This record gives sequence, C-alpha cells and structure tokens, in this order.
Amino acid sequence: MAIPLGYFLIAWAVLLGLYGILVFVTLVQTLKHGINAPLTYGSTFIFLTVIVAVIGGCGIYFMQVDWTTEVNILPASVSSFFGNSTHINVKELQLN
Amino acid sequence: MINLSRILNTADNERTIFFLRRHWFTVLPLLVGFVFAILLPFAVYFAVQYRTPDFFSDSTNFTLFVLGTSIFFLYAWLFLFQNFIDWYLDIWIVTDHRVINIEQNGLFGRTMSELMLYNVQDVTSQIDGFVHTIFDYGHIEIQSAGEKERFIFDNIPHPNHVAKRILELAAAQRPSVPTNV
Repeated sequence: MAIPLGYFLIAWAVLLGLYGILVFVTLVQTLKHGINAPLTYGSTFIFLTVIVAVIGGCGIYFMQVDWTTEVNILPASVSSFFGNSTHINVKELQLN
Repeated sequence: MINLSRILNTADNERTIFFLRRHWFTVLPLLVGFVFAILLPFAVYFAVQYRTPDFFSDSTNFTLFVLGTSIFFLYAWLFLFQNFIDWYLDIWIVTDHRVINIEQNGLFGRTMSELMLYNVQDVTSQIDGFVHTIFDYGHIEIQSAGEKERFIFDNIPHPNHVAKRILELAAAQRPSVPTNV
C-alpha cells in the first residue's frame, strides 16, 4: 500500500500547527509572569530564533522535495495483498 | 510582566536582601536529558547508515527522516523551554520586611504569597545528601505565627546562610518585648 509523500508533509504541518499553539501559550505565560529582566527577553529570543531556524531550514529543504513520490507504508509481504509495492515516482511514470 | 520595583514597598524603604531561585544544579539533569534527546536522531541516522548504507541514498527515506527529526527536535526544544520557565518563574524574595513566594506550577498554575517577617517563628534549613552538600543547596522551612501553612524554599543555594539571615531580620522586625523585673 503506497501513499504520496505529501501526506507526511500534511501530518507534519498539523503537528507544526499544534506546536504553534503550544509555543504561543508558553510565550504568553513567559512574558506575562516573567520578571522584567534581560534574561527573560534573551531566553525568549533564543527560543524563537532556534524555532525559526529549524522551520526555515526544513522549509528550504522541503522546496526541493518531490512530494508526489509514493511511499510504501506496509512491508512487501503485506503490500502484495494491495497490489502495490516499493516507491513509485508518479512524475517519472507520467514522463515514461 | 512582573516589575520588581512594583513588588517592593518603596514607602517603607523596603530593601531586597535575597532574590532566590532553585540552584542551577537542579536544572542540569534536564539539560543532560535534552542533549541526549538531540543526539538520538543523529545516533539513529548513523546506526541506519552503518546497517544499511544505501538507506538514505533514497531521497524519500531521507525526507521522511527530516520530517520526523525536525518535529521531534521542535517538541524537545519546547519541552526544555517550558521546564526552564518552570525553574525561572519560581522565585523567593526576602526583603527586610517580608518574604515573598512566587511559584509557577506547570504552565498555568501560579501561586504568589507573602509573609511578614515579624510573624516568623522558626526557620529550618535542611541539606540532604552528597550532591546537596557538595554544591551547598537545600530546603528552608519557615514557620509563621498563627499560620498553618509553612513557607518552603526548594533547593535554594546556601540555605544555612539564608535561614540565619531570615532569623536575624525577623528578630529585628519583631516589636521588643518588655521584660518584667
């Protein structure tokens, strides 16, 4: 059984959305209850910078990925019941 | 955001004597755990490379690895920051008039209480165990007059010194008792 790689990107985006909510709540709590001191602002800045760097880095990498590639999510022995196996590049098939 | 100058009562010339947080050593296990968590995806990468060298030459596999690793790292980073906040927002302030206890319990629980020093009856400091003794950190319990609840300072540095100083400050704040001859 094969599914497009893009489905994994959708799952990743959903988890990232949930992550965004948690980050927002955490930041509100930090800035609401934190002491008005450089360490509060500094730690918040580092926290956000790392998040932006990771998401930005992933974004740059994801732009080069062909998300139409299909991924076999079941072992070959099980996949034989569904009549599909291994990775299939849909674009390559269309070109051929 | 909490402004310390607003907490202190400037009308009474209140001075901050101690501004305390839990000892840095209490955060160390969390940092070590985080470093291990960060190294875990790399360990998986090298283990897979060692077992099946061609596995990541397939770009699909590598993309799946990047998707999983990035989300794992982001959640681990958030977990670390939330625990840092839990440590950072637990504060005990000792002034020459009172003791202020600000405690963060998880992300949403918050306790703020204060005790006037003239109500302090007894202060107990406790250092338990090898690590606590080496790094000189431990607990302080403050028993107040007429109050059932005790003030507890968790894992603060130099508890013996702080306890002694609080007792001195409390004695200075108490009205002098006339002695019968």
